[in-house]
Amino acid sequence: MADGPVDVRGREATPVSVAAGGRAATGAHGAAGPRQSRGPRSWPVHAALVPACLLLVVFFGLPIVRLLQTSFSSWYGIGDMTWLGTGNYTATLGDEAFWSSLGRSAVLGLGCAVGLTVIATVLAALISAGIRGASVYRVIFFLPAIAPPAAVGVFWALSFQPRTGVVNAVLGRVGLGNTHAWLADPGTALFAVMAVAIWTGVGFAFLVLLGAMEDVPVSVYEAGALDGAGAVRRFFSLTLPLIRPVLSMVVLLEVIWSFNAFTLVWALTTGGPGDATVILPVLVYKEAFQMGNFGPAAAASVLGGVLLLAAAAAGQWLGSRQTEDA
Amino acid sequence: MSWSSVAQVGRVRRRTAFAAAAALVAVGAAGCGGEPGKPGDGSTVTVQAQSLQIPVFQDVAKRFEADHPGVTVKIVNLTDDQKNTTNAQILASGDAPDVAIVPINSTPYTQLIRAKALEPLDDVWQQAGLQQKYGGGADSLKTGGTPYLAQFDSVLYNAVYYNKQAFEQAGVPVPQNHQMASDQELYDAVTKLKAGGMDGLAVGGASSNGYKYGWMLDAQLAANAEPAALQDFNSSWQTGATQKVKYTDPEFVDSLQQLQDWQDHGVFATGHVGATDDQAQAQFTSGGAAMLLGHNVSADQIEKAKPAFGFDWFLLPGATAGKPTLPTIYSGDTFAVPKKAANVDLGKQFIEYFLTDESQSQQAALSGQLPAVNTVDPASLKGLNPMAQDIYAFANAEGTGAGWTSVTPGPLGQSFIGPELQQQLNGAQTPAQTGEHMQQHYEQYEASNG
Repeated sequence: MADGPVDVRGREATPVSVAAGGRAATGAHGAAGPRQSRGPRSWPVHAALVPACLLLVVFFGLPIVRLLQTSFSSWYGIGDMTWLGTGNYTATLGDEAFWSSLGRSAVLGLGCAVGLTVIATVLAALISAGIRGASVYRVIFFLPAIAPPAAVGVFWALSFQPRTGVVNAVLGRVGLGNTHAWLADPGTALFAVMAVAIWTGVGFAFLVLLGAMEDVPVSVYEAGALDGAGAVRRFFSLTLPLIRPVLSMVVLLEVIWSFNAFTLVWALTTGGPGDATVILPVLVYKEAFQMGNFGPAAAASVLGGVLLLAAAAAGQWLGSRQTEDA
Repeated sequence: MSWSSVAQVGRVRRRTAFAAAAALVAVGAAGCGGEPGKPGDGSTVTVQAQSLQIPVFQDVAKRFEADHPGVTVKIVNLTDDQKNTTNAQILASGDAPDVAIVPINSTPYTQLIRAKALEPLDDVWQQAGLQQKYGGGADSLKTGGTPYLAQFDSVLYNAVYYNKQAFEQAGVPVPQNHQMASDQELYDAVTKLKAGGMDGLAVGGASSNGYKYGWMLDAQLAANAEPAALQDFNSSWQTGATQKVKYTDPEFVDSLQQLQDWQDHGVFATGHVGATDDQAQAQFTSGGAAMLLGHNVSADQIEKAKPAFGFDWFLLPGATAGKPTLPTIYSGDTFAVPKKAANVDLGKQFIEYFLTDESQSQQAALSGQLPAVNTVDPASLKGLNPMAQDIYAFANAEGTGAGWTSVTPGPLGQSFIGPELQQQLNGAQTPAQTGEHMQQHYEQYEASNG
């Protein structure tokens, strides 16, 4: 029998690289032999990609080009643009409001990602462990995720009202006072938004993490149990390391989504009180549509986008390192 | 499967792929190739309307259609947020309505004027006699001497509605002639109301960037600032004008301080900075707050909520005792015709139709709005809420205040000052700092707008 990988018929199989998109490693690198993708059958494959590419160009590429163009121009939202060079970027980078909003976006993004990942992991672990009524909880935990963000915002905006809101009503019942103005106080408004973002986002993270946990082979836990590891030890030493790639992806996605949580913030506070909840997308919206300054708004969007791309790249790199470590 | 059938399937797939690609290119080309402003067929006139105004628009549309056989009026809803933000993009697009709502103090109006995207309405004004019908305020609706707007209703704002039973039970005297004479009178009233378990003045401070604080500032400026200073605040942004009174001067800061004093004395209901208009109204109608800041239409809205108490209205005090505020007049509900409208002439005809005395009278009955023209006397309108008529009668007898946020462009006034006042009332900055920020913002605005 050959030493290398063997296919079902006992022949020596060609090693396949996942990173190379499943192509034969040799062919993919073009060092030896013809590339398998070339040939009479390759062009229908490329043709099939055309619609997707067109959609990407029309709905993603062109807007990005237009955004970049706007960021280097003076534009009031309609009419002709006037080329300005890097003026909008210089002004934006020197604007305290930009840095404050970026800070709030980062706090919201990281706070939500950490908070909801911890909660979702605990919930997924409970369901994965087969607690009683798991199938019902599975649905209940996911329910907030299917509510439209605007409706969620309106519901919670009412719930946070002093005296009449359900949050204060509950606090009042347990003797903690019912006059807390959660959304009117600059010290609490962003955290109220964060709590709602966690409430609405936890369902998706829970579902993804539950899927990852249920993919861990039972034999691994059995081996752990045989080695004398208790449930908590198995969770920290087996479950968490094995779902780390999915966990890091969830954290990354939640950071990005919460960083950009315009709809929720707008429905809850419209950025107020004052600028206490003005995250970067809210600043961009206000600058563009309320002040009519589309150039600086576009520059702020581009800078925010670059930061998110960098964060995503860093997250992916960390995720891939963790995968290798695991 | 035989080789021939495989080849056949391949051909079909290739054709399908080509067809799909071609279809997408065609859709893309159609999307990109819309010809803005192409002439309409003259059979449909598209009109923007806000939800509160839809009944009157439907009524006018019905009569307009009857008088113009073959013409259909299509009413499209416009939200309050859209009206002040993204409407310029809609009106400059190839799908612009024929009649648009463009408030003179909104960002879209500034954008549309800069882009020369609105039709001059000289012919409409002449045909409908609007110069005379609008009276003394006619010229304030023009830009550079040209009317691009036609006002279709009037609003008197800064009326405070109060719970009569709560006032009586707390021992608060009824404000004489609908006016609180001094801050002390207001503070005494709030203290008594709070002792009786009621909250103070409910304000929808979170709605549309805190525009209600801009309202109160308007009333204070009109009551406190010297007429020349007020005139300067209201016009120094205009092309060619030079600022004579700064926003850091006492004429402006004193009015900011007045709002701060009320905040410090607990006049406002708990959480007012985070409450929307609806929530503030609910606080009042549910009996939680004893007072509500509103306008002439609010009386109708409060009645519809069927509160378990009677209510009346009064005006807040000015900074000087014995010199209370007046109702502030808003002329911002204005029609415009986009240059890219498909049926410009039909749109203009609809506006003329809306401004006839008959339509203006119907408007009062159907939406509670006061007429925009002086040829219709609100006191004679049977359908108008009696309290709205009362406010109108008061304004007629005592006068009205000019609203600074109503006449300055949105990016300069209303959009900026609301969040600043939210900050101030939350204790994050002093009235003097709010004035400094306003002055800096004014200078930036002037630098970029001339």
